[in-house]
Amino acid sequence: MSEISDAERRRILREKRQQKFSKGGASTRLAKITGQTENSFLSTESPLDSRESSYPAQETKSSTGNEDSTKQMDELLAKATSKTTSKASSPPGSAEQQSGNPELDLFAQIAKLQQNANNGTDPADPSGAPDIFAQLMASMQQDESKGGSPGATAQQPIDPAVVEAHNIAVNKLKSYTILVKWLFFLLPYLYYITRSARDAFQHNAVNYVLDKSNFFTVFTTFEIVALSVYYQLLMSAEKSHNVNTLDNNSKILKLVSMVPPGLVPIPNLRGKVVQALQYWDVVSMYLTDLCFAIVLAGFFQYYHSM
Amino acid sequence: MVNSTILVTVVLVLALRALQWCSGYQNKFIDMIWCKPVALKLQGLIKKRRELHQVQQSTSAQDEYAKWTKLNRQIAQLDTQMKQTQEQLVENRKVGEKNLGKLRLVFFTAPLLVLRFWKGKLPVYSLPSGMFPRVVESVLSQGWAAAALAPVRFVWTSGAVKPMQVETPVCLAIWLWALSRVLDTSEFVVRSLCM
Repeated sequence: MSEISDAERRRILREKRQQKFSKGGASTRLAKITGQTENSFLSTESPLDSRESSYPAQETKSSTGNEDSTKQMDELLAKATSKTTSKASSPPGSAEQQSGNPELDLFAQIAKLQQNANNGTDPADPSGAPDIFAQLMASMQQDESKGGSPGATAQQPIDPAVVEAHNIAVNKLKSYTILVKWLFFLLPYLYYITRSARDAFQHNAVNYVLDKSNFFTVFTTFEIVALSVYYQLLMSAEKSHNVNTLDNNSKILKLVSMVPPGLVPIPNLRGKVVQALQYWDVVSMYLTDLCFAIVLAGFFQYYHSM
Repeated sequence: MVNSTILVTVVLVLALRALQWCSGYQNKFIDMIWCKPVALKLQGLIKKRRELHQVQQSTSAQDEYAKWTKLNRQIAQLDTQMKQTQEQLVENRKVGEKNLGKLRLVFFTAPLLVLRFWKGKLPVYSLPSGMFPRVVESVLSQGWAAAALAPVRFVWTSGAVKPMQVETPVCLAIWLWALSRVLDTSEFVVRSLCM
């Protein structure tokens, strides 16, 4: 070998290389590595291609770890598509028994939905298989609506600016109601009732209203009428703004909403709490007016005695 | 002649309300008493830093590097001191608010509570009998305990003739409660309509 000169050696290597290139050996070898030829080292079988039950079993060249899971998925999907008339009661254990792979569980759910859709839809449906994701969303929405309370409003996010504007309007309505009741009814009524010297009126109804012993009856009747009017206006305001005042402002209601359904043994807890809060609101306004009447009566007693 | 207890109660209630309404002046009061020395120190530091910064702006970093660096170090030191002084100011403010709260509790809230329980049954004024139902009149004259004892009294005194009363007194506890409620509602109305 040492007798062959360097130049000679280089010439021999060059010739060999050129022979290889002329045969196309490099591209063949590359294609073999990347799996573009039949006898490639890499398996290009995709599990997405094999949805049908019958497959040509000619690509099973090398048994890698993916082969087993791919086969299991194929079997599962084959089972789901073949059951078109049976009820949607695939035993939960079967999906779980397949493997602990979460991807298989998701596919099992999708298959279940498809099966439900096939049961529910018209067999002569020309559109073919329904949209699986639309069904998934529909079933999720159904679950949410079943799990929620019957009296609950739609859980759509309300703009905070709208809620704030609504609260301001409600506060103004309440303030005007209180002002009108205090200034235009309670103030003159108590002033007249606490006067010791009064002339009797001709009408018995007026005398009845202005009699001290009937003060509480007249007061309560007026309060009932005024609070009914106030509540009607409040309901119309809530309707026009599409905002529920209690839902958005009451901390007690927010706390109750966070309680899981089965924790407290009271059915429709939220509805009962809403009702209680509404009653308390009415009672609170009544008590406030009664307090004003008590304070004002004392003031007018002192004023008339001066 | 108005009872002195009632006068004191009225004064305490109105003073407490006034303190709540003038919360802006409260902050000025706290700043004046608890925060003034630290605030003055901070003001001095800010002024000094501004002066040094002006001098540094007029100094060339390339021509007078040593002077510029010295000024820079002084400004950095002042920045550290300013930060510490600001933290101290915030602490002093919190201490001031806490102390003011304690003063309010001792001079206004506690006496009102004591009056409510100690002199709760003191009659403030009297209303003609018959204006309110009997249950309400007994609560007005004896306080909230009468409402709790009403069923017991009904059972014990059923059949006995109730003495006729010309007037129903209103006790201090109930009157204080009514007055607080009226003031709260008036505040709410003013805030909703005017602000």
